[in-house]
Amino acid sequence: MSGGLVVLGWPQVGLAFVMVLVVLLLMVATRVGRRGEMLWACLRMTVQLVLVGLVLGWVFAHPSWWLTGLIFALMQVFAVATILGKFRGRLSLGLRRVVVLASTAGTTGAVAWFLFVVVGLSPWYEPRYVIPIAGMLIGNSMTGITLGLKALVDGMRENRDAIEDALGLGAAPRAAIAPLVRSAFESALMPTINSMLGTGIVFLPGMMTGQILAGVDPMTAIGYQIAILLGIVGAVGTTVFLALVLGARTYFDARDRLRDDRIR
Amino acid sequence: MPVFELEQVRFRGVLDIPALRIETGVTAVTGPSGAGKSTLLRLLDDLREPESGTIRHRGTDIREIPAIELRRRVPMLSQSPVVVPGTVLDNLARAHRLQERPDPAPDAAAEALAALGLTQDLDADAGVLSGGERQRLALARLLLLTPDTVLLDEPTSALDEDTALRVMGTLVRLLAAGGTDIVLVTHSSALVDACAEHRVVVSGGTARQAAR
Repeated sequence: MSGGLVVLGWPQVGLAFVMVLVVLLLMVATRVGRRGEMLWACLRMTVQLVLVGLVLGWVFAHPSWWLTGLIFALMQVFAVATILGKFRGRLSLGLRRVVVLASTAGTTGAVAWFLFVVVGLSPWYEPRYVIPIAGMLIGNSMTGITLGLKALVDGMRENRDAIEDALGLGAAPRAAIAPLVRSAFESALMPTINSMLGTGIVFLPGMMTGQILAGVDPMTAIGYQIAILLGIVGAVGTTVFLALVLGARTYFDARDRLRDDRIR
Repeated sequence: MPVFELEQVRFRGVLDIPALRIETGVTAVTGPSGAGKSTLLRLLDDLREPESGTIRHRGTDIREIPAIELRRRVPMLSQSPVVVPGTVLDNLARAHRLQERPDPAPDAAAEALAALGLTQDLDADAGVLSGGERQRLALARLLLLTPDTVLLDEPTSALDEDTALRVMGTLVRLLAAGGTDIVLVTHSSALVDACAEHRVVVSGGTARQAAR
């Protein structure tokens, strides 16, 4: 081995499945449930990634602005659909609109800043950069919005009386709901903050590991990783902030009344 | 001029009030549980929107008064007053902070506390207060506000009758001295007899003036 890349062939990937078999046997022996679910997840992940690999291989070989744009748009749609799906019927129409706006506008801004200002990408649609970076920023924002909105929606239900008490004392809705918005923002940002604290000590992030395995100089890989983690903080922070501030407003009407019919 | 006037006010099949006047002074609102007494208070403070009808506060349609300003003039104390984590002073200052005004002076805060028979220090932890002490703490907040009118939803439900009468007697006297009118939901006939000048009965889906 001369520092180059060890290419994993299919037989070697198959050997990785042996590790899953070991876990399955352990699960059978100890009668732990969800065996089918785990096997299904492993197989589905494999198929999904093979398909993505085929698509990405083709897309990278034929870079074009419209294809990159289309994939970017599909990611956005998928992220919004995933967030909405997590809540099923618990989001009012107003909150669903906020999800669409916060997720798409927030991540588009963050991705644009990252690619065009930080990386200085040219041409702007270079899929090798746009797709993975947009994926990381959008994916993390999606998790952040889901956590933040969950805290908001649950908090509205639990603190309905306290919020109405505050309105009765002459508070503006913004002031009445501020403690709730603050704690929702914290719970949405917590995983991102924790993962930064552990980075490099507890684990090496996936993107950096991948670049190092592919033979990139560690300092280059680290530069990218630091930038992408900061980009993730920026994207998650702005999208969650938008979602919570606009989302909180949907619980009140033009006369600053708490709309109890929107609390679910 | 009455403090509040209602005309043809309907709300979600809970209340249908053809006409109601709430006069200056102390008005007790009584009636069976679940009849809509709290809902009536919320309608007066524009915390709930009636399907139809008009509510006037001192002659002005409440829809013409900015909602937050209305609630600052007419603060409402909810049935289970909120005690926020922190000191007694943090809680006395809750309304001021929610209204983004400077905290009340410590002297005035201590005075309000003592007037309602609370002996705690201003920097004591409010988390250890009993239900009755919480209610009195919440009432003491109102003494620091100099409001136009106050809406009180069962403000003494956690107090024994003697304490309730004493606390409300003091509160009414101090608020009346400052020209504040009071609308008070209560189940206590002793309290009605001792404090109220007018009475409104909420039952059978409507509200009407009644003899004391």
